[in-house]
Amino acid sequence: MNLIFITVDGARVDRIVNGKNYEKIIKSSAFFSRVIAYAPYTIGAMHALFSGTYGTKTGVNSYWSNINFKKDKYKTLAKYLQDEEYVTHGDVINKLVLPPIGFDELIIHDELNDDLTERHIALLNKFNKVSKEGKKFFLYLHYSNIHTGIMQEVLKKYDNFSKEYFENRQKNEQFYDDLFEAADEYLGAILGHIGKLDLNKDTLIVIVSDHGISVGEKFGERAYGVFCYDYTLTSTAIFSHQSIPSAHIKTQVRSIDVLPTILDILKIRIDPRYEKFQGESLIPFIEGKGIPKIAFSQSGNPLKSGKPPKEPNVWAVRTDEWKFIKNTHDGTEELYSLKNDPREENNVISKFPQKASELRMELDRISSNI
Amino acid sequence: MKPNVFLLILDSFRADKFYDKTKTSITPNIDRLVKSGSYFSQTISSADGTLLSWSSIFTAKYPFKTGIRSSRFNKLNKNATTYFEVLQKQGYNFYAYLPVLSETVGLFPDFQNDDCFYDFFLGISNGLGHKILKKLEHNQMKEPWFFLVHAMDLHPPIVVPKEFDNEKFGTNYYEKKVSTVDTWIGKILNRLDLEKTVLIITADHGSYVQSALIDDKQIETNPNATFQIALSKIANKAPKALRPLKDKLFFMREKISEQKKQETVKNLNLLPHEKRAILAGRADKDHFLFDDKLRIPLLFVGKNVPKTSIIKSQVRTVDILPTISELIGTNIIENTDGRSLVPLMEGKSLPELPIYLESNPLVIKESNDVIGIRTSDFKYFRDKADATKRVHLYDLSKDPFEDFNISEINLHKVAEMEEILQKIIRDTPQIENKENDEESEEIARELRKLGYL
Repeated sequence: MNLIFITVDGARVDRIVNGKNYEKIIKSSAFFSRVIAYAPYTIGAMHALFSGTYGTKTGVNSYWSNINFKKDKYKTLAKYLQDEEYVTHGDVINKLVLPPIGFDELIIHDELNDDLTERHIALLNKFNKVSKEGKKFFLYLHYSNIHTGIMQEVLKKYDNFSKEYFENRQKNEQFYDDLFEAADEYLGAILGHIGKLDLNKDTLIVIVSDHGISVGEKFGERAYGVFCYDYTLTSTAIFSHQSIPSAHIKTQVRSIDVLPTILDILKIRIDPRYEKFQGESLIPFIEGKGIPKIAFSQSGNPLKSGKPPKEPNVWAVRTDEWKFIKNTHDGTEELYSLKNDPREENNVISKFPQKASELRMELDRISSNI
Repeated sequence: MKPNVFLLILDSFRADKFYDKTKTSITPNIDRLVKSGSYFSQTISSADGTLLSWSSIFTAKYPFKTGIRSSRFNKLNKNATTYFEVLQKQGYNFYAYLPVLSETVGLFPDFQNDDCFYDFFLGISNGLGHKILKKLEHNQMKEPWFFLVHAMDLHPPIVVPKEFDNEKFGTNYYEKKVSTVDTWIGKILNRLDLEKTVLIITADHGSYVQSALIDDKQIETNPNATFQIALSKIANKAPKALRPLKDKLFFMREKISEQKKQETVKNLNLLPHEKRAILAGRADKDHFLFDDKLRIPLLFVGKNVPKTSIIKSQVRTVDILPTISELIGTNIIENTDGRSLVPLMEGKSLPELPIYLESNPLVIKESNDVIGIRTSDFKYFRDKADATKRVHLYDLSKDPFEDFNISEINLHKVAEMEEILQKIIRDTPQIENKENDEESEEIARELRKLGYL
């Protein structure tokens, strides 16, 4: 079976569930609507997703650390498929976002000038031919135009403390909606073309968002990669193939679970020569037997410096009911009861010290890696 | 003129066999030195293996921050500073006798003596002593000098010279060897001018003594050391291509040795600490962090060293070089874990600091390693990768031999110690694999393209 893996960079879950084209594929797929990203920014998020392992272990725990990826210890999705004799090709926004190992070709597109729909359809045509030659392929497509819009109109115009940005929530929402609508159109065109080429019969289609994006929820974060709140940490994953039953799984899972799930579906054995994944296959969730796991995340708050730090300084653990955050840059801690306070507006750490202590221990347990 | 420094590291020397009421060796020279200087009787190494311990001693940082992990081999991180750099700026000339593996880790400076690296099995009592005496005898070293000697006398396999193989020198092979070492310390002292030299005697880590007194009978499982050394020497000369075979032979030997040890102890009523000492092998997969392998001697004597005799405060190997620096009047490297112990020598108090502990991974195959924390009251360690596995907690004030693991009945203390451990790990990020300036600039360019800078 081939694999087409699409990342819609910065797609928020609250928009995905209402996206016209998203809705169509969600209906016929296994849709995970609460996939907690390891990091609320692409570099950290995608390295964790591609290796099934948190950045604390792989070495990629900041915007700056992609070169630290321990490729000899952690086998990536692309490498697994390359070793299985897939033809592997990636089309990405930037050289920092994915571990390059395992890609026969990893091409950087120009997010400002390239027409990604046209470009990716051309790639589908190319790999349709590869498939017809009897070869299996892995095609990675990165839709980056939500990022492009945010970069041009938010990152470059405001800083994390611009009152003008945070006082215009409605304008921010509208701007994001326009960006998302274009992403949804892109997805419709790509999925339509896959159908037209009749590729879906023998192709697993995986569509993820890597992280969400702020529309002005919390002062201090104009986009993402600062805090560890749900509006950026919640990502999504869709697994689509005729052999996979349709299901909407609302239970929390982790982005590090995506790789083991793909290997499970493709029946590729885990390579014992590498370190074990921290993630686990999500197939039991599709079958209604999944056991929720605590999710761990890290971010790098630039504070007033204007640039991301080289080490994470915001750490979080999350369950379906609680979120515990440790801000190591100032020593503060936060606890949110997600059932009662999904927007994470009331820090209840002083009210529930026992719960905080329990989650603090979990955070320490997961993060201990030296 | 700055004082000379002689740092003598005696591999695998346990504190309780160096200076303690319970020891049975004959050590008049060590005893005299303890009374003439400052002896720290509760010195804890951060690691139970040589390379990690060295990395910690010479950088004054906990091992995991240095880039050196184990043999076969990680080098010192290029951003890490060693005390050799500080001493070099002060005009020190470096001389050493170190086992051959030292070359590989990037920790040491260029030494001025060409014969600085020796065959792995040399100790001061079987060859190294003569070399040291020669260096000291004819003022061969340019002052001020820093003379580093790492001696393997007490590293297993231990060979006791015939003239010391007598009960009057100790009740077991280890203590007899300590008596041997002491005579050589005496010979070295005769050549050393302590008026212008600071002498430091310590160890990299401790050791299990494979011996126990059961019903007035000494049980020992120290294998035939002479035979083992001969075998290792042959194996070391084998070409690199035969290394897998050599490793295989090592494990086979260890397995046979383990079977013999099991046979020896099967009908004996041993306490947990006696049993683990007797059964311990060099190829054990499960690693622990008991005091047997961590509590080491630390003695300062000579120029500028107050005569305070025994100091019982818990101190750390990361404190050794900052202390030497203060004694010789040089700078202390900032932002390290170590601190100078001179205030304690002067009778002042210093707040106790918890000690980060780490077991040394096996070289050839994967081992189950542990990390932990020691205070003067409690020892805590657990699986390196999973805080819930192989959890150990000992109340050192009531259970100094660490016989009773109380982790399951004292969860509060486990949580408290884990928090201390995490704080050390969290507050001080690892420095290995950092990018260099050029790489950093390239990443910055890419981040700029993405709008993040």
